[in-house]
Amino acid sequence: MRGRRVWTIALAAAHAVPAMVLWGLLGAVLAGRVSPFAVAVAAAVYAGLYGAAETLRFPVRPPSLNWQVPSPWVRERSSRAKIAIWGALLGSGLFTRNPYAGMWLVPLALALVGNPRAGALVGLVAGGAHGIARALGVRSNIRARRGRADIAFVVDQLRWKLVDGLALLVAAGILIAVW
Amino acid sequence: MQRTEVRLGLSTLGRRELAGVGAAAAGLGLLLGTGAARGLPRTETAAVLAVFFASLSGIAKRASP
Repeated sequence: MRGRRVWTIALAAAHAVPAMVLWGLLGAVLAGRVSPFAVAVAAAVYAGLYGAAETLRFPVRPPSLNWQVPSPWVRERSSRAKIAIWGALLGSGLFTRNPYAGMWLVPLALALVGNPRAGALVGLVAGGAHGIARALGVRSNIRARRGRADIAFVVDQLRWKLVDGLALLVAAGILIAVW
Repeated sequence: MQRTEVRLGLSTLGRRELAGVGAAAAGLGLLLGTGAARGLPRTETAAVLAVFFASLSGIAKRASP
């Protein structure tokens, strides 16, 4: 029981800490640099188009890298090293396959934060939230995979795309109203 | 043969119904953003959007096979 808790904390930290650093840096770089009105228009158009496409199930793929951690990097390594490598590379959600368009609203929203210091803080929180959520998902997948068919993951992904699409449409409405 | 039970929920709706749900979602966003005609503070709104979508995409990625 204690071992499982330690493993969960290690998994969460391995995903969250690199994500916090990366998103914090991105927040500091992006926030307050470009005209907020131009970014808001781009974000509203992006959220509206991809939100509609995901909600209506149009086969539109959001921007995404197809990179995955090469197997030689983790082969024959200890489980601690594997967690550290996967967490560092996948925790931020930037360097791997991403099926949800909502992910790319994060840098646009960071660019709308008033100043670089606030942007860094928001980036830290956003990175931590993403990394912890991703780590808990990995843990839950490891448990759920026992006796669960892959088709169930595909159906889950369709449902999450719908949730993401609807959230994007709400965000588009908010962006139009606020900016 | 493995038996898999899945809850489809809104996924069973057709495009026309989904368009209605989507329009309602965008309308809700407009209402929220208008915030009783006073408007929400911009920096805080951007911060909430960033953290919300970072969390949502992290949670939703658990559906990756």
